[in-house]
Amino acid sequence: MKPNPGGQLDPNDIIGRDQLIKQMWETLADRSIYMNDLRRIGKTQILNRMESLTPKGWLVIKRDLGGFHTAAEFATWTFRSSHDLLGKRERAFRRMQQLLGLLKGAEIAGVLKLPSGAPAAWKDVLIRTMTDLQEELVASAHKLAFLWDEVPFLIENIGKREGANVAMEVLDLLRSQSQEHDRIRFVLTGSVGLHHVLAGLRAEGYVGSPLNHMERIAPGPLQQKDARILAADLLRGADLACSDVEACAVVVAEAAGYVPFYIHKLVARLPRDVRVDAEVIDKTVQNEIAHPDNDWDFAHYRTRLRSYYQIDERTVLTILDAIAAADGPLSFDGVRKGVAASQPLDNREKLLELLKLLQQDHYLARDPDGGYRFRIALVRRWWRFDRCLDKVAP
Amino acid sequence: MSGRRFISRFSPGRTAPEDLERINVQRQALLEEVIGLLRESALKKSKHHLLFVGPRGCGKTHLLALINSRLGKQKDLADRLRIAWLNKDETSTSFLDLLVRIYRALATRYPDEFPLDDLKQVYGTEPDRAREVLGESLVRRAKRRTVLVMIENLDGLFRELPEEDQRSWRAFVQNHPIFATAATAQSLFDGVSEHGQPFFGFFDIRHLALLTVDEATELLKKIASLEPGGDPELVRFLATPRGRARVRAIHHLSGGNHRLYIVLSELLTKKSLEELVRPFEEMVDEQLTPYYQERLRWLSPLQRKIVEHLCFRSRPVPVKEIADRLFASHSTITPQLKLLREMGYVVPNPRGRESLYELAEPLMRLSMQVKQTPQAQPLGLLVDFLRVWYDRDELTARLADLGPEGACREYLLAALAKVESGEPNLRHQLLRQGLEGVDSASCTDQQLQEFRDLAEDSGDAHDWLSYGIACAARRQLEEALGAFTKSAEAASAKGDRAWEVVALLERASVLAWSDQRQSAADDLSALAKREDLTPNLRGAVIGFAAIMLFMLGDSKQALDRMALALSPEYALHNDTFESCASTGIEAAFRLFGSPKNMRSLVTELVAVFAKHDRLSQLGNALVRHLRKVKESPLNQDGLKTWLSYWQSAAAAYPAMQLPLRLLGVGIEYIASQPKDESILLNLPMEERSILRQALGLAS
Repeated sequence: MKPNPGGQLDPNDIIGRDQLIKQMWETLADRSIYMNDLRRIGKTQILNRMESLTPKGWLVIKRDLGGFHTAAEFATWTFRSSHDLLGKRERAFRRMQQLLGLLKGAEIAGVLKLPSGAPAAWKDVLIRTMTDLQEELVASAHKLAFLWDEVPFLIENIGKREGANVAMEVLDLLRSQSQEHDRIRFVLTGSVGLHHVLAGLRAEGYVGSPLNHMERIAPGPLQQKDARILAADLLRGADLACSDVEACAVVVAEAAGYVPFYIHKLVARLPRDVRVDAEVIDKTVQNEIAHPDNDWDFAHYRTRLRSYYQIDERTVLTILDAIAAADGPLSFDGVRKGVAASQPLDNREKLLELLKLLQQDHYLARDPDGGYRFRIALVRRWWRFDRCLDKVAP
Repeated sequence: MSGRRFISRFSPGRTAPEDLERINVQRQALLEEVIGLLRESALKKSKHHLLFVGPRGCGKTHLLALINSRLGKQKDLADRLRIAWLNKDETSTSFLDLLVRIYRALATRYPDEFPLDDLKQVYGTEPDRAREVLGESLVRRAKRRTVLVMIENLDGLFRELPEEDQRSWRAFVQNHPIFATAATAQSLFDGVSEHGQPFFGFFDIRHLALLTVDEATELLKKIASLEPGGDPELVRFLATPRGRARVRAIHHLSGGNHRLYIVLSELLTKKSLEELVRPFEEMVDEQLTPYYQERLRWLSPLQRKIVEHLCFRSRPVPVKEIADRLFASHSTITPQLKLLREMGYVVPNPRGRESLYELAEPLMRLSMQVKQTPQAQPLGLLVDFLRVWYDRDELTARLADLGPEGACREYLLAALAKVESGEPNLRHQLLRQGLEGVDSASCTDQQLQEFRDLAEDSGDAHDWLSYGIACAARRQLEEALGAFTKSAEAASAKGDRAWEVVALLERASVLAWSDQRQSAADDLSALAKREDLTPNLRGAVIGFAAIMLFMLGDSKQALDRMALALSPEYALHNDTFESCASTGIEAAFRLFGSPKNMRSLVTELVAVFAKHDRLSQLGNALVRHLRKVKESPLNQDGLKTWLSYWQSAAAAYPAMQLPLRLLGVGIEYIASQPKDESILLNLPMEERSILRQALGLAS
């Protein structure tokens, strides 16, 4: 397998997610899923692999929704794709037939129109489609999973083009439909968290909770052994002069924080004119981190603190500095001392709250014994470099 | 050969692929790798999206042309891959525009498979509908083959494409995994490198480096070989030290930029300058200048001033210099530099914790020169090139070959005028600039080669000396001896006695180190007797002999020489006395195995320096020597012994009271376990500060 950071992978080359995917399919038996995690953690690849591992009794319709700009486009496509999959029976999708007239043999294109020529109401289209779909699924003894990527972009696009109210209605409708039809499930994900989009809508008065009934999943980095397998495959595929592929794979996997995208990117950046070993890998990582024009955008972890944490930004910085500077996971007490060394801290509860938020925002993870650490080792390394913590004694 | 051929020949898109292959340097490995990735995209389900980033003229289009050519020839891809190379001069303000360009590019190349009728059918329809229909048509016509989309100036495209259209594009690629991409950009831009953007992390980004000197030489050789019959003489010349020195000097003018090298190479390979000058001026006038003037118009006034300042600086500069020259504050300039960097105008070069900035595109500098050069005057860059490449005789010969009406007489005359005006040799200047700041005692192999090439080319005494020092540091003693000899000869030829002496002293030092002590001693004796030496120089020679003898362990002879060197007739500089004193003290310090000899040497050193009223220099050297005492493994007894010998020898001399006081407290501190800085409080503040510095303690 050749390194392909950011590109599209053959689903058979997506390593280390099968266990998670198995769990996701099991979850879908009961409820829909909202998958959220850091950008480039591999959510889209998970959807691709999931599609290729569709269990018996399930059907899948997968789509990146970022190209839709109106609710009507989205509704039309939902109907079209459902009909293409399940519209073989003569009386299939009878409610939609009632709405639009005869469907059999018709090429359905563009925004759907009523026999009168007027555009069909998108809500009507979605509700009827889902209801028809449920019926077809019962008849065929299947369930259907919509694997939808870039849902936040869809909602944002609709909000920009048609107004916040329409975006809110789409969200509410998706929620109601997913709860009403037990043979239809959704897996929703996107490059940005839906909560960002929801925050914008709440400012416009939105009070709904479209994700409440959904199982939340954060895939996270790979397991260590899978990350090493991936790294080894890529090192071989890249035709690098590697002194010991397995040993180098261990170093690459760890240096990249077990994140598949980072593993691909790091292997792609390794020099081709020298023999690759642990030292070369480490030097490559350091050069990438230190270069003022690096394209990893680790700076995002720093710059977004202001908008996420606002008046608590300074405290959060101190927390992250303390954890980054420590040699290993830091206990709560260790964090407290680290923060207290830089600023007055007399609110234990506040500290606990911030630590929880930092975990939710994927900066930190907590070990079974309670110690806090950076969730991704590579980000910690960058943080130490950027914040000049490298010479700070533990 | 018409002038126009120059321009079309080096527009890569219109150059014969076999020529492009032949002049491909530096990128072979990258090209092989990229071809492998794109083959995988064609033959398997994986799809790669590559982005090549580098300044204008660094060979991006050349690379795409090679990719296009190589993939096009691979038979097993004939039915698996379709290539859509978009016209770089067009832009797209919507995803629909982009789809149209892609389809049109495919229709032009594969008219039977991608009929233009499909495109015509969507004209005049609603944009959303047109997008859907054309997208589906494109995918259908591709028939599961991979479509490689080649886009130049992707950064420009992203500037024009609204974010919602970028999302549409990304969704289209994700939903129809039949596309691969090979794109270029002049610099990294937010659209692909910023977290919140749709295409963040989407592209596999490869930065294209500028040419190194060796690669530039390789390029010039390959271009020389392109001519019918080739130019074997040039190829041979490029392999010589003179040839290498010239290429290195050109490197400073071109900044390692491919396009400029190709342009400048024409001056070497064309038999007549006539065929180059006019087309070159036309290229600058018609292509470069309008483009860069437009780019400057996009900038704010302050940003423009920053770029203009950098246009006239040939090396990276710190922020402070830019701020000072523009009468602005550091905090005003820094954010502007950040923006200029993001827009691809400047590049930072880290140096410790600061960054030095330079222009990202050497061609912009050339264009600014054009703006500044009054009409009908020759372009500075070409004149500089001629000065760098040709010596005076060669310039005169080329001028003679030219007819009286030759169009580039003015260039040759301008170059000759500068050479004859007494201006320093530009080539040597550029080479020295390239080595500025390099410590010849700790240089790399490459730098050593550069020192040598410079010395060979210039024949200058200073350059030979630098090379000699570099060789001596690496223990290449024979080579060092040769270099110092040449340095001395060059200095002698110019009547520069002082430099000649320096070179000969270095030579003697190398002789001593290579166990040719008698030769060293003979050389120094002969040198000291020369009648053409000033007393000062003679004293320096004798002083040096004393230092060398101390280092070789012959303290008695060393002391005799030192006593001679210290006499007032030689009027040596204080630094020389201190050097002598330091060496003597170090020699004494090494005699710990022989206390009697140590005490004797210390006593004699004090006596000699006292006799010639040079105790202050001895005292200074003794205090400075504390650093070495501190680093030595001496135990407490040894330290006390050292102190006692000096106290005994020098206590009677008022000029030594302060040094002895500092030595005493210094020894006490060094002996303390653990180190106790409060001991220094036994001294008044000003003396404490001297001692701190001597011991290397923070103030």
